[in-house]
Order: sequence, then structure tokens, then C-alpha cells
Amino acid sequence: MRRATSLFVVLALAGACGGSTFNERANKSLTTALGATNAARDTFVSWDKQHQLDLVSASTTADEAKAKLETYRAKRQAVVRAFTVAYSAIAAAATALAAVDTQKAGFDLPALIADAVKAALEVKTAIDAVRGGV
Amino acid sequence: MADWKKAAEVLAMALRAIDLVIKRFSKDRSLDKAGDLLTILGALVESVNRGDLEKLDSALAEEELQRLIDALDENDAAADQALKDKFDDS
Repeated sequence: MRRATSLFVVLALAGACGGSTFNERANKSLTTALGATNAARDTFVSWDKQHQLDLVSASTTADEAKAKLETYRAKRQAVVRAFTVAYSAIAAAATALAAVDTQKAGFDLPALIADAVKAALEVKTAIDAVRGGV
Repeated sequence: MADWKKAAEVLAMALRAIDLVIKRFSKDRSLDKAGDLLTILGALVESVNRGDLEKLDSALAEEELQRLIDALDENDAAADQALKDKFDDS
């Protein structure tokens, strides 16, 4: 999991660099952010399943298992929120990029792109916090 | 001019996109970018004429998020079943 999230950071940062025109760089950043967020999601889902089964396995009573699962699932909401923000930011930036002539746009499209990449990186922080706390 | 079906599809996608933008900004920026939202909406309406359906990615992002939620629901169900299997017979 730690290896996967490290790769996630590298990919997201790499996506924010390079390319020639702004649109090409922005497209690459968003595509990379989406791909990295999806990879982080899939890795987290696999870990989540095993972690919940481990919690049940380590419990000696049904009440203990239920309490452990309830506590973990409450903490897991932070990760779900981080993914929600990341996907929303990516969608907003992608929509603006696709639909607007960036030369004439009256808003800060680079800031939207930066928000999307930043939100994607925040997913890693949320996952690390949950994994370290439960 | 695009046909009515395409226009309706674009409008539905535009509304979803705006909803996502509003959720995003309302969390962190208290909707101080309302003018930007109108600009985006105007551009999306223009896209009806250009037939840019394939470029609108908000539905894709929503779909990816839904996959996460569905997968976690499946994990919860599997853990609940494991709990039942382990303790219900004892």
C-alpha cells in the first residue's frame, strides 16, 4: 500500500509537468490525476476488504467485531470524502478545459487544474491517516 | 445546430458538471467563484452547437466515484457475512 501511494504521488507530480502548450499540459495533468486517483482507489478497496476481514478475525466476540468495524468505517469516511473532492475537482477542471476557450476564459483555469491535482494528492494523506490510526 | 436529443444530453451533463463545481467551491470557497460558474455554464451551452459531448468528462469522474462507493459496500457486506459466519453458530 505504501509503495502504491508513493507511486501515486510520483505519477501525479509527473503529470503536472512537461508538455508544450497549456492545454496539452493541463490535459496530461488531469488524465494522470484521474489515473492515479483510480489506482489509489483500487489499492485502497483491496486493503479495506482485507482489513475488515482481519478485524473480524481478531475479535473474540460478535460485539467486539461489530464495534471494531463500526469504528473503522467511521474513520474510513475521511478517505471517501477525499476521493469525492478529488474526483469533483478533476471533473470540474476537465469540463472547463474541454468546453472553454482558455484564451478568452474569464476565470483561472490553471488554478482549477492545480486544485484537481492537489485534491488527488490529498487522497494519499487521507489514506495514510486511516491506515495509521486503525 | 445539434438535434434536440443531443442538446438535452449536453444540458443534463452540464447541470451535473455545475453541481460538482458548486459542491467543490462551496466546501472551500463559499461560492465566491459564482461568476466563473456562469462562464462555465455559458461555454457548456455553446458546446451544444459544437457537438463536444465526448469532451465532457464529469460523468466519467462521477462513475469512478460510484465504483469506489459500490466496492466499499461490497467489502462491508463481505465483512458482515464473515462476522455472521464466525459468531452466529457459537
